[in-house]
Amino acid sequence: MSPVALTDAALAQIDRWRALNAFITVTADLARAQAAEAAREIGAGRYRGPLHGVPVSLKDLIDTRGIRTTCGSRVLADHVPSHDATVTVRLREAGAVLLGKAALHEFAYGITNNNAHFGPTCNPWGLDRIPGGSSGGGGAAVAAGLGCASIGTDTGGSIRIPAALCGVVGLKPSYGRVSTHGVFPLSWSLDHPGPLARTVEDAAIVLQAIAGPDPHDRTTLGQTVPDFRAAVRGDVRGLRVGVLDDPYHRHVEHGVRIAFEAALDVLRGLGLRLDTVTVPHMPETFAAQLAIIQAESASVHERWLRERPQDYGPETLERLRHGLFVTAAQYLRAQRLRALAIEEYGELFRRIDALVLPSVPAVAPRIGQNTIDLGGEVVETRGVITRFSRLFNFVGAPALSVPCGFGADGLPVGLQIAGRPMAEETVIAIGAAYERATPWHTRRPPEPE
Amino acid sequence: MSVDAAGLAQLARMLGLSIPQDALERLAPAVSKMYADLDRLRELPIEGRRPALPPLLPSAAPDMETGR
Repeated sequence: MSPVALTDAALAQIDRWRALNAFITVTADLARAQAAEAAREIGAGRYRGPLHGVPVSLKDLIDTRGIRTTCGSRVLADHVPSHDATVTVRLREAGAVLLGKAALHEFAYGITNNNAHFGPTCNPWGLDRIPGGSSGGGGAAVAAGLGCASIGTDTGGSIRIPAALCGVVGLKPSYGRVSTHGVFPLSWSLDHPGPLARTVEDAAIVLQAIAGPDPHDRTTLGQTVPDFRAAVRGDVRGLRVGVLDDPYHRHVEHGVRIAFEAALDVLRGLGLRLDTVTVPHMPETFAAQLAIIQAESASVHERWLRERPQDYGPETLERLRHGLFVTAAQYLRAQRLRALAIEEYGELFRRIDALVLPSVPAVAPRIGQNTIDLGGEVVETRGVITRFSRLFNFVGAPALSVPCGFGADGLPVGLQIAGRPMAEETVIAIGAAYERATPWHTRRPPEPE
Repeated sequence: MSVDAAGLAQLARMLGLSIPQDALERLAPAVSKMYADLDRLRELPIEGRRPALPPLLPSAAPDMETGR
């Protein structure tokens, strides 16, 4: 398919799926021009690689020079950056076509994508359901065919959660693998940009394009970038996989449990060696992580909290104000616990090569649903949805969500595969092997009437 | 350690912020819970550890047992 036809098809899908509210800004004219240019270059023998002429979207907190970047907030409703983010530059250099800026939870501070300023984003598998967030526009877009991939950011699960709830692939790389330069921060020490895509190979291709050292982001320096696409064909037989089994990870919806256990059978069939493991101090780890997000995000927003509180949605304003009351001693105590958690995670990975667990303990809740019943335990939606994803932000490890079936009401379920820091190849290899053995990634939501 | 709306108002003033009373009253229980949760971190073996700042650069060292 030519870049022009592919882009036209994606733009037609954006129009057909307007009810999703997956985009804040659609750059149709730019996309058509970039697609035509890509077609000319390819025709002239100047093929840049597998992303050349491929339509993608960017979460609307990733800077795009000359294109409005709102962060999903009235605070930046008219903000037009003068520079591109590093990931924007790298995608353009790879020849990708920009379809537009995907919807998000305001300032990425939440997991529902119920945006007070731009309206809720819907899940293509059920328009009354959330897509997850905060990269919910990207998840909904990829699931419904509004482009081939999207770049999201993940601070506690914001790539993997929408990937799981929308039935697509989401890859949170290691901390420092992808530059955050030009990406509006939620929490500097926990933010991870990464791809959402339809397949593990597509996610690997996008990661290849955006990964690597960037002098504008010192956390990226000193890395060597492996061949992620080659990892898709990696041999997984004999790999040791830990299955998280502790009180924190036992509470899941019945349908998610069924899909997850079936996925474990598939992994065993692929020759992986499964064993149950535990991660210590989970409640304390999450308390520390929450304090870090709260303190760092409050610091990011401190001036606007003073000068423009009326321009935030009420939920975001309350969360940001909460963070103002984290003391320096508490913040540093949380970071000291983080050092312990990183060490303990490293110890665990002396015995295993990867961890597997459901990406999210429940299927997509209804828009506005504040609690979820996990087998008799009624819990707050936000806490449940991030429960299985946030550890890997805390320790900076790569984690991948791949579709692994359907749970209650025919809604998608995700399998999460996490690895040791800077070992994306392992999670990609396992995810791709699982994908080859199962049909779930080929399922698509029904087209709108 | 717990804090009430008046205490939060005092802290907010020190930060140069004016937060409405109803917002402070909503925040106070959540902030108190956070303080209690963070107090419990002292019970873990973090003495003598440096904070994970800047975030530790991850190691790409392969696992010697599998060679992967």
